[in-house]
Amino acid sequence: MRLVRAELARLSARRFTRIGLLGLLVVIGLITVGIAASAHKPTEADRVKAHADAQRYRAEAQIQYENCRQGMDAAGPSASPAATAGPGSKPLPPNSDCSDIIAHQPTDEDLLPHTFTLVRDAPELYRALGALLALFGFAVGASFIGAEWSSGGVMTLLVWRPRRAALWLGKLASLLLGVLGVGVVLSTLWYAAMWVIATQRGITAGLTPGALTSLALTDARSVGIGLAAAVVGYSIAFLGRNTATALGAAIGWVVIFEIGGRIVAAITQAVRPERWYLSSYLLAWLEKEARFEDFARCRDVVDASCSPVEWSITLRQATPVLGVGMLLVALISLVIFRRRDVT
Amino acid sequence: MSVVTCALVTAVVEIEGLRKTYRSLRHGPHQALDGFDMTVAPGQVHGFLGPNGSGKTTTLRTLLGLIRPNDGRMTLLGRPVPDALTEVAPRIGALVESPQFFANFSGRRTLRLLATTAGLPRTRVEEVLEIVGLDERAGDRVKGYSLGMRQRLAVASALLKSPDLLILDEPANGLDPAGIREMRDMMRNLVAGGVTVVLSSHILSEVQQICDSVTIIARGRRVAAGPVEEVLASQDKGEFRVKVDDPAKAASVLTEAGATVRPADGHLVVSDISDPAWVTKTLAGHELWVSELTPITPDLESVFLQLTDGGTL
Repeated sequence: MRLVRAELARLSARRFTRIGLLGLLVVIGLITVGIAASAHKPTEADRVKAHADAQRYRAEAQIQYENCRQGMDAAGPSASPAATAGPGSKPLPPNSDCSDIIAHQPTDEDLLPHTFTLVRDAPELYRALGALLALFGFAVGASFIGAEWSSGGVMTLLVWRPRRAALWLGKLASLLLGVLGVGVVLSTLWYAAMWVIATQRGITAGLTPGALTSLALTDARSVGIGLAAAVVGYSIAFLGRNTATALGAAIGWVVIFEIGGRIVAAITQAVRPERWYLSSYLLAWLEKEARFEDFARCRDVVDASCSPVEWSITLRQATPVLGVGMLLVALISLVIFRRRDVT
Repeated sequence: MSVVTCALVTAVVEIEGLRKTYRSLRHGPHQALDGFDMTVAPGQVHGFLGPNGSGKTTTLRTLLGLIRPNDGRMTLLGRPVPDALTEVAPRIGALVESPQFFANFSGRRTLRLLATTAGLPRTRVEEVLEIVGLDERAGDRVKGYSLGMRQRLAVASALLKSPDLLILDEPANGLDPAGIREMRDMMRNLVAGGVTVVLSSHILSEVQQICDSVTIIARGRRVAAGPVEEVLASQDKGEFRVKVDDPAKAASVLTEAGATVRPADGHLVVSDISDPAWVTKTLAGHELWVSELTPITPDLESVFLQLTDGGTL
């Protein structure tokens, strides 16, 4: 505990941490100002028009639905809704049902002129915060231990406390506490800013307990990605004994697996290549589900109406992939540190 | 190899048959320590000498658990290491090579963080700052420190734990003559207070002045060890510097009498004799009068160079 306290003090006093935190605040501040500047409170005229538009849309949808049902009844049990949407109606996508026409009716708020809507826009902003926290956590985590290796701090600490696992874990714990603190404070501040913008210049409608819970979970996953990035940055820098190793590994990963992988996948016409990219799982973690389209079956089809197969990576699939990956990197780093010579 | 044994109580540091081989894909294996032995008695300043690359730092790092040995036995303060290292670590202060500190932290803050890690009171920080003479600049950032001040800070960090054993690797690096003298006085005070100091240094005159005993290492092996005077005496060849008016004739006389003689800078160096009076007597028998007769006592530098093949690897 003493080690964690001392390391937390060291982490917070480091210039790199402070500059990184300042950078985070500046970026978040700029985004907040941008949102506030572009948002405006809907006028009464906007609301009346949105209500009328929504009613008209719903009425049209209802007519289309009735036509679809009639067409289905007339064509018999083997009929396809895609072909029987009714006269003057748009054809329905394959494998769809008449009820799909009225399944997702727009609300009045959906048809208001675009403005900041807390329930709709906050999750996206929390995901952006997650990306920023990941960047911050990775860089600060890597620098925190990379600088210690360069300065001989690791050797000094080992001479003081010759318990390698305790040292590794203690420094990591202090880093995670630091990133968690930053994440919680920024999340709170940002929610407060979003609330103010929404109440003054946007829309707060729909903020039910369920929506708030969902928002909290989105934020928790965003902070979680920041913590995971910190663990990975710290572990790689511990392995390489300098900050540059972690940054190089991150850049190498992006260039080789994310960019290079996509090029290779395109050349080889790989099936569902997204499942091989870490970014797909990160997206699924942040958004609960990452949806992709598989065009494999349309490659040799001349028919332009061929529709791709939709598939997705769910949160339940992404969690073990990201978790095991993170733990593996951390475990390798710890095991090697316990065995290696500190020269 | 010259090893002068001395009566020991419980050795503070004991190393037997220490071996370490570094393996590198690029350069192949390199044997840094080849059955090295060392013993340090309590309450002494023990000099640890060797040329660059001879294995000094590897020995100290292995002793402190930073490097895994391939073979050998080590004890610190009577306990086997690395197994009992966590047990004895609180009683050991170490400065291994020159540690760098975070440039943006002050000296005081640097020490306070270390003190927090070890659960030491802040008053101890102020005490060690005063011991190393850094108390007036303790609030300054480390980046404003001179090399000597950084070295003092490093020594202060090693002293924080009030250690029973202090291991200092080149502590005089960057210190000016006054600083070296202060360091010497500090070590003497520590030893007077019961601390044992292991001092690795290249400044041989300094080691000779301050150390009670030494271990000399070359190519990963001990080549000499024991009290300083005894190590020096073990390399004493019984040589005398002789000055006479006619060196050529004197050389001839002494050689005929059975001594080994070589000219040196206007003098004669006479060796292989046990009694200096014999020189006077022999030369006087040939009407040659000695104006100077001085025993040539080896200093640590000459012994070091002799034992380490000129201080090379």
